[in-house]
Amino acid sequence: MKEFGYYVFLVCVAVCALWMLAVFFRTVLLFLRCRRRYMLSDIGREMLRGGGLRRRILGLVSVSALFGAAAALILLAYRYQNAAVNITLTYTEAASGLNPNGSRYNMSDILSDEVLEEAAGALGSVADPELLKNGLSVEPAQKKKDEDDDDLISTQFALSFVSGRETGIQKAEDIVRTVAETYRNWFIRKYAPDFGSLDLSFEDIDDYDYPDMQQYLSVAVQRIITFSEAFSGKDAAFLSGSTGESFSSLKAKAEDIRNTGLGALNDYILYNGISRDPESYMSRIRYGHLIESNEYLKNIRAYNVRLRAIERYDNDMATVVYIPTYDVDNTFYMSKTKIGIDHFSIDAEAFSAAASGNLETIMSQDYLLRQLEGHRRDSAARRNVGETIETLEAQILELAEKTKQTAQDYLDTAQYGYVSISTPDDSFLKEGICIAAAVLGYLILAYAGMVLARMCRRARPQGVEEKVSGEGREAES
Amino acid sequence: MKDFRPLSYIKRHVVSLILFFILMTAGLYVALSLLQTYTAQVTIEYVYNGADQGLAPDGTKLDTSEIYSSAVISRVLDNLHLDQKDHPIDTVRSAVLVEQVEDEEVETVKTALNEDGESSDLQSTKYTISYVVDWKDGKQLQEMAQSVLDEILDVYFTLFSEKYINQSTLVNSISGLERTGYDYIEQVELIETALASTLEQLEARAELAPGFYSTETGYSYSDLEGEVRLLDRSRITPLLAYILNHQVTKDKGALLAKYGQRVKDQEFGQERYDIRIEEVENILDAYVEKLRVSNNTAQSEVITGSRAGLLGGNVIGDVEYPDYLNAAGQWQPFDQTTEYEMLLQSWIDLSDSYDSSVVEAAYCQYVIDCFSGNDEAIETYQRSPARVTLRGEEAGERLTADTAEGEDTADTAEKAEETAGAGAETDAGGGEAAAGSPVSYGGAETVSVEKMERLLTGDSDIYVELPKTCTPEDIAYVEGQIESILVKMDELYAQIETTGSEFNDYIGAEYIRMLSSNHVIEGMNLPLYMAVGAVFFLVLGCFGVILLSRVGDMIEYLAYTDHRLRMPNRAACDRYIDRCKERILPSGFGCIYLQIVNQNEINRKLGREMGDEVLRIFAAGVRGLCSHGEDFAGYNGSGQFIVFLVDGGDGEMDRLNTDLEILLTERLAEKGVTLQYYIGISESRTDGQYRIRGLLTQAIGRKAMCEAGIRRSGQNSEDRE
Repeated sequence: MKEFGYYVFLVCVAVCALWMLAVFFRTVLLFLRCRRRYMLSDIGREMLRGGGLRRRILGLVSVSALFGAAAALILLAYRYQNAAVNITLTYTEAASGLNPNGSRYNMSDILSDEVLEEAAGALGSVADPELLKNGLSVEPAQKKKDEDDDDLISTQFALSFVSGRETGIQKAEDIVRTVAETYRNWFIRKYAPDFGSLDLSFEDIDDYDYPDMQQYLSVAVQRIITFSEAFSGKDAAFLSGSTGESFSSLKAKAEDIRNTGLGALNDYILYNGISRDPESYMSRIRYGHLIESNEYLKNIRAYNVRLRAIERYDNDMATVVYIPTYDVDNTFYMSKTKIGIDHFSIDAEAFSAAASGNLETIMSQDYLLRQLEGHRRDSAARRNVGETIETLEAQILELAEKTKQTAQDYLDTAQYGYVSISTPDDSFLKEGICIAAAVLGYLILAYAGMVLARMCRRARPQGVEEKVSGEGREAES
Repeated sequence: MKDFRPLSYIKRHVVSLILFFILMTAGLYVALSLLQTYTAQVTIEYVYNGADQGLAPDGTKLDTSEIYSSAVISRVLDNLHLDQKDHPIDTVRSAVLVEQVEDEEVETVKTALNEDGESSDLQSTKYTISYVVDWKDGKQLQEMAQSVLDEILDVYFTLFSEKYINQSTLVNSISGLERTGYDYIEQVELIETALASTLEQLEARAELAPGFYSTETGYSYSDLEGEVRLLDRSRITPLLAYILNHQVTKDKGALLAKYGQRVKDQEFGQERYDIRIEEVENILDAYVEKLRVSNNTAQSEVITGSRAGLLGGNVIGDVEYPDYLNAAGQWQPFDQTTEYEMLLQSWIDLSDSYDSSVVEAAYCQYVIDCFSGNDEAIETYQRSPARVTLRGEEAGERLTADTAEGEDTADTAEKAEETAGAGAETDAGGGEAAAGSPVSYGGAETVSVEKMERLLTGDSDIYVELPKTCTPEDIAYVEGQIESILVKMDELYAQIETTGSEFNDYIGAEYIRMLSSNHVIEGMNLPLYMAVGAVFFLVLGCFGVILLSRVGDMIEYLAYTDHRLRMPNRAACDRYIDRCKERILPSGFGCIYLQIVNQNEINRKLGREMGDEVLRIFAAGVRGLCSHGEDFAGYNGSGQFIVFLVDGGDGEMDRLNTDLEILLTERLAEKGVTLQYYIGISESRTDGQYRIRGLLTQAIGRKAMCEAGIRRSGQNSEDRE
C-alpha cells in the first residue's frame, strides 16, 4: 500500500508540471502578441538585452536555483528514506513454487520474525524488528494486475523499505540490503541441503562386536548411496569438476564397498568366528536363535492354516467364471474371477517366504555359533579384522568427503547460490539531470515571459508609434 | 462588460484554486483508502490419484472448505501473532474464498463422454484461493493479505499431509521409561516394541518419499531407518539375552507372578479361540449345507441347469460393474467379498491368534523357568523351542479331527505321524517333544520343525546356557545399558521429529502443486483514480473560478460600469478609492485626473450623437492608459475621468500623456472635432504623497488644459501658459 506522502509527492510533481505548462503557454501567447507589433530581431535583441529586468531576472534565477536545489534535496531525502532490492530465487525448484527441499516456497518468510530479528541485530542501531516490519514490504517483481491475468509462479521478488522517524538516520538502502542478505543466509541455512548425514565419525565403532561390523559400516555406506541417489535424481549427468565424479559413479563406488569390501569382511569374521567377547556374543546368538525359532514356528503355522483354509473351501462354492481379455502384452488372455482361495494362496506363499527367511537366519546363527565356539582365542585373525576395518573406514570416509564435495560443486554450479540480490537500475544522475533540465527550462520560459510581457506593456496603441516616430523625424529635419 | 479572459480569472484566484485542489484531493485519498480492498490470491492443483474424482488421498471425499476451517485459521492467527479480538476467526474465515477453476481438459473429456451417452465423475483439480482485507483489518493491508494467505497455505499443506497422507505419528512412547517401576526385562521388551513400530513407520515413509532429505537434520528416512535398525539388532537382543542369562530382576517374585499370569492369560485365550474356531466351523458347514440343499450354489447351477436356467439363475451372462451409485449420485467401489469368505477369513484369523498365543505362552514359561532356576526345562526349551511349544498342545486334537474329515489330508497326517516318529528316534532331546506333538496340525509343523533341525547339523548342546546367579555388577550393567539405549533413542526421536515436521511440508507440496505465486490484487487502481480525481478537481476548480469570476464581472458590469462608455462608473471609482484609502501606496503609483471642458459646446455645435462619440473616443483613450492588470481607469461623471497606475514612475505618466494626446488628436481630427480637456498628473514618489486621496487631490490641483483634434492655432500654448 502506498503511503499518503507518496501521493502528496505525486500531486506536487503534477502541480509543478501544470505550472510549467501554464508558463509555457503564457510565454507562447505573449510571444504571439508581441510578434504582431515587433520584428523577430527586435524581440531577439530585447531577449539578449533584458533591459530593466536585471533585478527580476536575478530574483527569478535565485528562485529557480532554490527550487532546483529543494527538488534535488527532496529527491535525495526520498532516496535516502526509500530503497528497494530484487531478491531472485536461482534454484531449479523455484519455478514450481517450491523450496530446495521440496516444501512450498513462502514469500512472506522474507519478513518473518526470525529474519527481521537477525537483521535488526546486524543493523545495530535499528533495534526493533517491529519497526523494520512496518517499513518493509515485499511483492512479486512481476505482478498480476487482475484476476484474468495468466497464472505465474514468481521467482523474483521486490523488497522495498520506507524509513520513518522511528528508524533513525539509518540509510534505507543499507537497511533493505541488510534484510535481503540476512534472508539469503537464513534461506540457505534453512533450505539448502545439509550434508550432516555424511559427517561420519565412527567414534562409537568400538561399542560394536566384529560380527555386527558389517551392519554398522553398511549404515554409513547406505547413507552415501541414498544421498547420491537423491542428487542423481536431480541431475544424473552432472560431473564435478573438482572430484571428477558423477553421483551415479559415487553410488556405484559405495555399492562396491558394501558388496565387496563389507561382504568380504563379514565372510572373514564368520569363517574365523571372530568376536571381541565370544562368550557374550554366543549367549546373544543363543537367545536370537530362540526368538527366530519361535518366529519360524509362527510363520509355518500361519502357512499351514491357510493351506487348510484352501482345503476347507467347499467345492460347491469354488466355481469361477473365465473372461477372455487382453494381457499387458496386448495378447489374448483368459482371466478368472477371484475367489477366497486366491487370496489364501497368496497369503500362504507370503508366510512360507517369511518362514524361509527365518530358516536362513537360524542357519547363519548356528554356523556363527559353532565358528565362535571353535575360534575363541585366535588373536592373529582379530588383528587382520582390525586392519581391514580401518581400511574400510578410510575408504568410506574418503568417499563421503568426495560425495560432499561433488554435491557442493553441484549446488554452486547448478543452483547459483539459491538466492541472488540485485538493485534496480535507478541512478540519481538521471533524476538529477531531469531536475536540472526542468529548472533550466523553467528559467528560460519564465525569463522569456517576463521580457515579452514587458514588451507588450510598453507597446503603444496602433498608429501611435508611427506618429511619434514621424514627429521625431520632422523635429530632427 | 469586461472581456472574457479565463486565464486572468485563474491567475487572480490561483491560491484559492490550489487550496481547493489540495483539500479535495486529500479528501478523495481518504475516501478511496476506506473503499480500497486487497485480495491475495493463489491457484493450487491437487495432483494425486483420485483427485479428479473429488477424492482425498485416503479415498474419502475431498473437502476444500478445510482450507479455511477453524483449525487452520486459529493456527494461522497464532503463528502470525494476530490477536483474535482484532481478527475474529469467523471474520477471517469469511474473507477466504475457495473456487474451483474450470479445466478445459476435463470439460473436453466430459463432453466426449456425454456425446457417447455416458456420464463422468471427472472434475477440475484446480482451485483458486483468495483472501480479502480492507481498512478494518489494520495497517499494511497488502503485506497482511499476503502473509495471512501464505500462512493459511502452509498450515493447510501440513494438515492435509497429516490427515490424508502421512497419518502415522512417530513419537517417543518410552521417554522416561527408566523412572517407571517396570522390571528390566519388561523395560527392554517395551523398548523393542517401540523400535519395531518406529521401524515399520520409517520404512513406510522411506518408501513413500525416497528422494526426501531433511535440510535441518540432513537425514533421509532411509538413513534414520538404518540407525534404528542398527540400535535394535546390536543392543536389544544382547541385553535381553544378558538379563535372562544372569537372572537380572528388580523383584524376582513379582516378575514370576507377572509371567505366570501371562501364561494363564494365554491359556485362557487359547481356550476362547478354540471355542470360537469350532463355532465358526459350524457356521461354515451349515452355510454351505443350506446352499447345497436349496440347490442354490453356483456349482449346482453349472452342473444341473440348462442354458436358460444358467442365464436366469445365479451365474449371469454379463460382467457386473463393481461400483454402485450412492445417495449423492456418485459411483463408489463396493465390497464384493461374500459372507462365506468372510467366515473363512475369520476362521483363519482366530487360528492365527491361537497359534501366536501358543508360542507366547511357551516363551513366557521359559522366562519363568530362567528366573526360577528350572534348569531341566530351560535346557529342553533352548535345545528346541519349537518342539517344546508344540508339545502338549491341545489344539492338535482339534486340528487332527478337522483334517481327518477330508480324504486328501488323511494321508498327509499319517505320513506326518510316521515322519515325526522317525524324527523322535533320531533325536533323543527332541524325541520327547515329538512324541507329544505329532497330532498337532496333522504333523505338518513337526515335519517343518524337523526339516529345520536337520539343517542344524551339529550337537544341540551348543544352544544350552544355563542362567547364572545375579550380582550387583550385572544389575549395574543392565541399568547402564538401558540408560544408554534410552539416551540414543531420545536423540533419534528428536531427529525423527524434526525430519517429520519438514516431511509433512514436503509431502503436502508433493500432493498439492502451486500454479501461481501469492499475488495481491488491488480492488481499485488507486493511483489511477487519484490521478483522474486530481485532474477532475483541477478542472472543476478552474471552471468554478472562471464561472464565479464571470458572475462577479456581470455584477460589476451591472452595478459599477458605465454602459455608454464601457468603463467603471462613479460608484466603481468611489469603491476603488475607498479600498485604497487606508493603504500606503507603493512608490511609482500614479494618478491621472482628466476632465472634458467643451463637451457642451460639441453637443451644441455637432449634435448629441457626435458628443457621445467624442466622449467614447476619449474614454477609449483613457482606457488605453492602463496596461497593467491592477491599473484602474474610471468615469467619475460630468466629463471627469480618473486613472490610477501601479507602475507610473520614471516618466511613464508623461509618456502616457503624450500618447493620449497623439491618439485623441488622430481620432478626433478624423471627426473634425476639437476637444479641450484638463489633465492633472501626480505620482507618489515624486510628490511624496502615499495616500490615494491626497494623490488625487494633487492631480486635480495640478490640472492643465489640453486640446486634441483640429487645433485652433495658438490656443493650446496660451492655455498652458
